[in-house]
Amino acid sequence: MLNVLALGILNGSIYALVGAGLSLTYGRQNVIDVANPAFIVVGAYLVLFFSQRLRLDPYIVTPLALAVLFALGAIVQVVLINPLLSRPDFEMHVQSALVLFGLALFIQVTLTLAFSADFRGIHTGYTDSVVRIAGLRLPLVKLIATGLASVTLLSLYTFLTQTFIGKAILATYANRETAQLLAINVKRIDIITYGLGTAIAGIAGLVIALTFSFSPSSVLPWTVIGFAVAVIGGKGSVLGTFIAGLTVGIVEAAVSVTISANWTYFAVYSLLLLVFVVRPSGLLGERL
Amino acid sequence: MHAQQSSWRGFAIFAVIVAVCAILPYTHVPDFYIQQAFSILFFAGLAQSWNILGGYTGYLSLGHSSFVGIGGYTIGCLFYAFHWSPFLTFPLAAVSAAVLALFIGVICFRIRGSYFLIATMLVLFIMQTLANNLPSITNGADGIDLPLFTSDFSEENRIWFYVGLGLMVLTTLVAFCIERSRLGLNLMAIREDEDVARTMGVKVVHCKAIAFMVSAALAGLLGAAYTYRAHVIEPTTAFSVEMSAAPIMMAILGGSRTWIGPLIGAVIYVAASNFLTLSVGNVFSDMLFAVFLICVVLLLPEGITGIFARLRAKPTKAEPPSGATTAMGPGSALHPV
Repeated sequence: MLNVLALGILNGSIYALVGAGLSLTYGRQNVIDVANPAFIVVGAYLVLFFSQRLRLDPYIVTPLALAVLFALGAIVQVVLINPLLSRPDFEMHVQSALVLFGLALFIQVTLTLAFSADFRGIHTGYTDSVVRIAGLRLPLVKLIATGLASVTLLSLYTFLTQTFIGKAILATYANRETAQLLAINVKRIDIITYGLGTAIAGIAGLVIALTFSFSPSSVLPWTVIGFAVAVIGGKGSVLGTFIAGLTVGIVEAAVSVTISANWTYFAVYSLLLLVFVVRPSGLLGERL
Repeated sequence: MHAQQSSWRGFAIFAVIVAVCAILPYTHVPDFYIQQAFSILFFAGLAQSWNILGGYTGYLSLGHSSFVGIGGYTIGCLFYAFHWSPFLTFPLAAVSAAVLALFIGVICFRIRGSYFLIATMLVLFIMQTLANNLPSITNGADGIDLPLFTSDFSEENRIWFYVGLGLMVLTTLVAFCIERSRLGLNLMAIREDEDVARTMGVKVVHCKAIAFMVSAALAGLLGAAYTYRAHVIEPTTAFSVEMSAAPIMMAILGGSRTWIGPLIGAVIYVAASNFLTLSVGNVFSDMLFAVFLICVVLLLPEGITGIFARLRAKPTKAEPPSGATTAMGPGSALHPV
């Protein structure tokens, strides 16, 4: 029982990481970023590909994968999203969602062609190691994942609140026009934000590659988890994302222990719908 | 522009096309095409029903297949539990879908834009898990088999062709009437600016709820027909994201502001996707489809009817040159009304 809850917390921190990239890119400028979770799966495949080709540990090749993803994200922003920016709000919602849905589909098909539709996983010498802490048996890779997620979210938080570019991102979020008046180059900030969101998706991809199995069809389930976390947490809020990830993980674990594993998704979706209705801006997001 | 496009002349052309289609099964058209025609008619109806809320009101629902699914499950479950004939329970499919829409509307109309889109998608997933997890009612993941009502294959195709045609005409009539009514004007006012519409005295919640329920009831009927046509219903196909996304793409492709758009979009979409699947296989057709989708949204945001409206509006309206250039500009979504 306790063990399951502990696993829920570990999974929850992974979910937080999955939602973190989305939280950065979704909702910004009326763009519904349904493509971000697809980049998580791309990240998982890139890590797999590089670590096999270069015969290196997955963690070592990750920066390479992240650089590729940042560049991809920047290209997507320039080619696909910028042309939509001049359209009226209510059209942009659906049009951005459709364009990025098309992109997600494109990515999924490309991955299927390149790597086949089979489920993959990355196996290292320590994949099956188990750590015993205070009577709990926890897999080593998930502990590493939790550590990685915490470090990533903490660095993201520090970046957003302490550096000039980070503050500019938050300012553009809060009010685009005002940010522009304050001599912030919002177009460049857009590109950086999207690239950053995609790169964080890459870190999530690394973690998923090591802890779960994945295939091109994993895009949809991770999209749901990602949106759950990003929405519950509130867009642009790193702390909210972390809390939301843990909440989703714990709810999932609690439901699977007390009722049955069949109802976990139902519980997560209902929780998310509830948050949506009661507080659409999320736990720690700004009021609309 | 609306007055021009939803004119009786357009409707007369539609009626002629329908009449020509109606005699098709009695000509020497191969069965295969009659069979395919059902899916075109079904999706045309579905896109039309989605458009009543999504196009006129601007509330984009990504959960439209919830209604298809619940319509199908209504007839499916009643058959499973009581062996009631699906043909008799058809109207109940519309009722249950409308009730579901009312329920979703109560909780989701507080939120707008992207939030509504995601909330409706969540409802879809919730419905899917419910269908999976309540085996006593829905027979779980195994699904429910429905009976064939005739063993004659081409006879069956013909019956379904007429059912599909009837439902398509019904949805189109409803959309046409709404477009020309006061309700339609209210809905379009909500789309353009909800707050202003409310200030001007439009009963916003009331109008949205009616639009949503009508849209859902029609989708429920279509879902019942689709399910009975397939003779089987199970959770993943009944409540699928693809089935929700398809009508949106059709409406956008054809143009979501008038009743003509979704029909044109559906015909092109289904024909193109069938052709691609047959000619280059599933995987490549998905890829081409993705590229196609991106290009349509980026390059033709007003859909195919939008282009015609522009071409027609240009010579008749003596617009000032500056206005004309903005209307033709690549990023502009303003309508040259």
